[in-house]
Amino acid sequence: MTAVSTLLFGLVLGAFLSTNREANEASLSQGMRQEALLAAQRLEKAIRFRVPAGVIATAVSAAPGLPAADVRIAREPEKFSADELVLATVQPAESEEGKAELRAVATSIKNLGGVGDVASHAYIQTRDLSGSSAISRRDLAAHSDRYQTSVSFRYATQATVEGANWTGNSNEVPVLVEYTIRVWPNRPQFRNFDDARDPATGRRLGFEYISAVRIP
Amino acid sequence: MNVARKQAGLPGRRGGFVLVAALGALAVIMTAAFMAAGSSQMTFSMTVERQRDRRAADHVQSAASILPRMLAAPGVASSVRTVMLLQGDSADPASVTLSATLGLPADGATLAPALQPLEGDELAVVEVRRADGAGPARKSTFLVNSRGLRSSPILVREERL
Repeated sequence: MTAVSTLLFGLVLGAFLSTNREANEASLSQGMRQEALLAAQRLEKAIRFRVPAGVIATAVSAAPGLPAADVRIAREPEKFSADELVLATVQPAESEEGKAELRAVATSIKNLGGVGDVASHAYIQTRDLSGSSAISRRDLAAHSDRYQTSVSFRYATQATVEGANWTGNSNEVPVLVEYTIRVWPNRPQFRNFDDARDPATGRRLGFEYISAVRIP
Repeated sequence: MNVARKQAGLPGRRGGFVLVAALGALAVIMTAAFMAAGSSQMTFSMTVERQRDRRAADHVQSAASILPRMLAAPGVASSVRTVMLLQGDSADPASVTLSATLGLPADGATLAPALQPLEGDELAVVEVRRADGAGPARKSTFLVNSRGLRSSPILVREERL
């Protein structure tokens, strides 16, 4: 009787432990997938609000009291490199009187940390070009306590039905931006995406999301 | 029964304790497993919604790319008009309904201080909804120019309804 009970208990315990492990893995995997999608959503939103740099420069140049450095940024704000994307964008906002207005903003997307013990996080920084030069920064993803993230870019200045020639840096405004978002667990032993592996199986734990978006 | 316990080396009170402890451990692990499974399921549902929303954004961008072709010819007075671009199948949850309203006035106050108004500027509102009426809709406002003074539509506002 005791032997049967012990066996039964062992079987049930094993099943629950296995279910718990699988469910945790599924939850981690789904969490990272959602984190990557959220980052992609924020990144694409920033790109959708892009305006040609010259359009903003006219308005900013006319803004009284604007520092010369900001006028220069407004004229030449855009940067298309493998580890950083800087765009001239507009941002719906509210004035001090509560009226809807449109602010000119330099939006930069790049990585922070990832060196030594500092966790890696992709972030989005906006710099107000409409006069106040206020800078705001926030993580591209939502749960930086649980996951680390990084972002990288490739660009195509020409795209046809057959395909596109991708390059890591572009001096001219590309037609397409390809972005790669990598998400992996925020644990001290995982210094980068490639380090994030299951110690038992060697299986990669991180999630990689690649997509491309057209530059407006 | 007591004889069996003694043979197994488990006194009655100790055997009971082991049984209760085992059941407790099972209950804890079962709860943890169900919580992890529930969390995974919820995250999956949210991911699906996020993907739907991104697809809606793609539809809006596609509609924006054809907006310049729908503007009034230069010199012709523009009027407010709504155009149905796509009427999806209401039985298909992945299908969407897409409409655009053109000819809305774009005055300096709307664009200030980031953009300077140009002659021929007008606003176009593109709205995408799920064809079955469920889920949130997405509404985007673009600045377009009927005189061709802007190279492409500029997104000035984006809302989820």
